[in-house]
Amino acid sequence: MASKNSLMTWIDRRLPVTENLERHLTKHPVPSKVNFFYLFGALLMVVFMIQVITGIWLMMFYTNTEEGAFASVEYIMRDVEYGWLMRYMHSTGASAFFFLMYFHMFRGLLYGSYQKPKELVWLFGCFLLFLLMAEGFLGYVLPWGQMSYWAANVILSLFGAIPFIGESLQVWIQGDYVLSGATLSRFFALHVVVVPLLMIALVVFHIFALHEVGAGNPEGVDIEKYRDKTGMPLDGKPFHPYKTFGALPAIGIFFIVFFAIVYYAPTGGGYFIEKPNFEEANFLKTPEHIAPVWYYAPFYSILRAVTFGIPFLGITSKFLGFIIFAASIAILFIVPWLDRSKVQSIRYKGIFSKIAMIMFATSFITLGYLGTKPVNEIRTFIAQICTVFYFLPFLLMPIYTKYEKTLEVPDRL
Amino acid sequence: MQITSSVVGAVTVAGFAVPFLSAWQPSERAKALGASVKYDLSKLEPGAMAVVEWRRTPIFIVHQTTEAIKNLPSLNQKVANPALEEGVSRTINEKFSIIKGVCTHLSCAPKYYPEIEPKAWDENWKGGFFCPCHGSKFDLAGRVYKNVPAPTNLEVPPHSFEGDTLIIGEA
Amino acid sequence: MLFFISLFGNTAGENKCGELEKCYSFNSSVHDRDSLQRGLGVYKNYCSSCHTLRYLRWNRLQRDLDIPETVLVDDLISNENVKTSDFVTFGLPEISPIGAPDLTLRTRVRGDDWIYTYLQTFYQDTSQATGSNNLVYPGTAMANILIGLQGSQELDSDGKLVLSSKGALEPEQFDSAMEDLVNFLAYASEPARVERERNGIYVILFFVVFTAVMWLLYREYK
Repeated sequence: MASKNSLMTWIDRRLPVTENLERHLTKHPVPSKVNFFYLFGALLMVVFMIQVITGIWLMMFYTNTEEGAFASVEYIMRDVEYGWLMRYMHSTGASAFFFLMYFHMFRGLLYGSYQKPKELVWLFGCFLLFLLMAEGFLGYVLPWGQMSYWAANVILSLFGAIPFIGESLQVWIQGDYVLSGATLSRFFALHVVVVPLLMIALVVFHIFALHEVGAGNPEGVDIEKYRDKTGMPLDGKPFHPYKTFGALPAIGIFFIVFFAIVYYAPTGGGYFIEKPNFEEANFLKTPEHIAPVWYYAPFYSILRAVTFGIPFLGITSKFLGFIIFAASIAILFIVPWLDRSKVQSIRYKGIFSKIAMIMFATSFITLGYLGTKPVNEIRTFIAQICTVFYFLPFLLMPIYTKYEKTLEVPDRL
Repeated sequence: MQITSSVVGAVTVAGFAVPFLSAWQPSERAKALGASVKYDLSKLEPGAMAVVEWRRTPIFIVHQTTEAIKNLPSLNQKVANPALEEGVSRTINEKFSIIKGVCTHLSCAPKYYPEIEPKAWDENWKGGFFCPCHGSKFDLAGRVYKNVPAPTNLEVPPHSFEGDTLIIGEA
Repeated sequence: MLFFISLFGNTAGENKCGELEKCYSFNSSVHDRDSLQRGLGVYKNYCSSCHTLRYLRWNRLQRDLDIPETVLVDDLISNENVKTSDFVTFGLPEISPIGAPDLTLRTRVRGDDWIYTYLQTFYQDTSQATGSNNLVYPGTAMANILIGLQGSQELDSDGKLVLSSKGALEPEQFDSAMEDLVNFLAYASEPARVERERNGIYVILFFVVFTAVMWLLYREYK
C-alpha cells in the first residue's frame, strides 16, 4: 500500500491523475434524482466506442477504390471470420448513434439543458450532431452500392445549387466532373480520420464543459445551492460509483436491443441498409426510388418540401431547399439565446412551451415518415406544413417563453 | 511588429493551404476521361433512343419521329421555358436531340417514355422524360415542365456532327 | 379517405412487387439443409447456364450444405480447371453477354417475395421477343425457362393467371421447388445468415444475464 501511494505521489507530482480522477469521477457531484432521459449520454459513449473499434477492424479489410469497394464489402461479409458481425455492428451502430442522439438532444430541449451557463455544452453537442450527420453520410458512400452512389449524388448536387461558386465547388468536392473513385477515396479518408478526430475532440470539450457547469436534472433545480460540510451538494451524489453503476444496467438493456437487431434484423427492413445498396453502383441507372436512411429522413423531407424559389432574388427552389435544410440544423445552435424563460424544465414552463415541444416532436416524426416515401401532392403539402411546424417552436420561442406563466421551481430535488 | 508577424504567419498558413486544397481538384487522369466520344447515327431508328457515356454521364440521343417534332410547339404552354434554343429539338440537327441524361434537380437519370398515352404522372402525356426520383417531367426535347422540382431544362452537351457521325464533347 | 390513401398508400415505385399490387408472400429460411440442397439442384439445372454466383465460393457451399467431395468435384463443378476455392460461376464470363444479372445478392436487392413471385408469374405473350412475359417485371428479358416444370400459363381477361397446359410438376410440387430455389438464393446472398440466426439468441441471453448482474450492482449503490 505504501509503495503504491508513493508511486501515485510520484506520478501526481508530474501528472495530476488523482486530482483529475476526483474532479471528474469520484467527487464530481451529479443530481441524485434524474430519469431515463439522462442515460442517453452514457449510451452514446458506448456506441461511439463500438463504432471506433468495429470501424478500425473494417478498415483492415475494406478497399477504398471504385473497382474494389463493393467486392471488398462482400469479402468482409463472407471470407473474413466474423466480418459480417463487424459490419452489421457498424451499420446498426450508425442507426443507434442517431437514435440515441435524437433522444439525448430532445432531453436537452425538454429540460432546458442549454440554458445559462450550459450554452457551450449545448453548442458542442450541436456541432457533434452536425459531424455525426457528415460522418454517416460519408460512411454510407463507402460500400459503393447503388444507394451509396445515388444518395451521394443527390446531396453533392445540393452544393451545385449554390449560386456562382456552386458548380466548381461541387467539382472540387468530387475531385471529378462526376461522382467517382476520386470522391470515394477522399470520403474514406474523411470518414476514418478527419471527422472521427474532430468528434473525439468535441466529445472531450462537451464533457469538460459539462463538468465545469454541472449536470442538470428534470426539475431544473440548482443543486449547488445547498451543500453538506464536505462540500457535496445535498441533492448530489458522486459521479462514481452512483452514476457509473447506474448506467450499467442501461448499457445491458441497450446491448440486448442492439444485438437483437444485429443478429435478427441487420438491414432493419431496408431502413438501416437499403435494398438497392446490395447492387454495385451504376452511374447509368438510377434506382426507382431514392430514399435516405431513416435518420436523415426528416431533413430530407424538409429539403423536398421546398418546391418553390424566390425568382426575383434569383434563388431557385433547389437552392432555397438547401438553405432551409441547412437552417433546420443551424437553428438548433441558437436555441440557448431563443429561450427567455425564467425556468429550465418543461415541468415548470407554461402551456405554450408544452404545445411547442409536442408540435416540434410530431412534425419531426411526420417529416421522418414522409422522407422515406416517394413524393405526391398530398405528401408534399403535409411536409410543407410540418416544415413550418418544425421551425415555429423555435422562431416563436423568444416570445412565448418570455410572456407565458411559469410555475414556482422548488428549492430541492 | 506583432501585426507584421501575424501577417507573415497568415501568409504562411495560406501558402501551405494552396497545395492541399488544390489536390482536391480533378486530376489529370480525370480530365483525360473527359475526352470526346463518337456515335454512328445511321443505326438509330426514328423514335428510338441510344445512351452513350461521356464523362461518365449518360448522354441521351433521341431520333425524333415527325409526329414528335410536330407535337413540340403544342407543349409550349406546359413547359417552363418554351424557347427552343438551337433549333426545334434543341440541337443543330433537326432530327436528333442530344441531351444529358442527368435531371437538373438532383442528378438522377430521367427515364425515356416516348409513347403518347396517359401516364400515372400525366394524363395528357405527349412523350418525354420522367424522373423517377422526384417526379420531374421533361418533353422529348428535354424542356422542363412547369411546377416540377427541376429548375431548368435538361442540359445539352457540347456536340457536333460529321456526316452521320455525332461527336459529343466538341462543339 | 382518398387523402389517407395517398398519404399512407403505396405508389408503384415503392410497391414490393412493382406493378403487381400483391406479391405472393414468401419468407426464406436458410436452416433446412435439404431444402438448400434441392434449391442448388434447381439452380444448377435451370439457372446456371446464364447466371453466375460470383461472390460465393464452392468450398463455402460445400461446407455449409454438407456436399460430399466427389459430388462437388464430379457433378457440380465438373471442370478440371476450377478449384474448389473458386467462385461459383459455372464457367460463365464475369459480365454476361446476354445481360443476365449475377444472382448472388439478388434476393437482398429485390426481396424474397419479389423473386418468388417473379418465378411464379411467367405467362405466354406472343408480343414479347421471348414469347413470354412476367407480371412482376413486365417486359423481362428472361425467357420462361421454368415452363417445362410449371406448365404454360395464360393471362385471362381479368388479369389472372391460368394454367393452360401441365408441366412436369404438379402445382404444389412446383411451389415447393421454387421455395427451395429462393431459400438457396437467400443462402447464397448471405452465407453467414445461417450462423447469425442460430447464435444470436445466445448473445442476447448473455446480455440478459449481464443486465441482471449489473442491476444488482446498481441496487447495492442506490
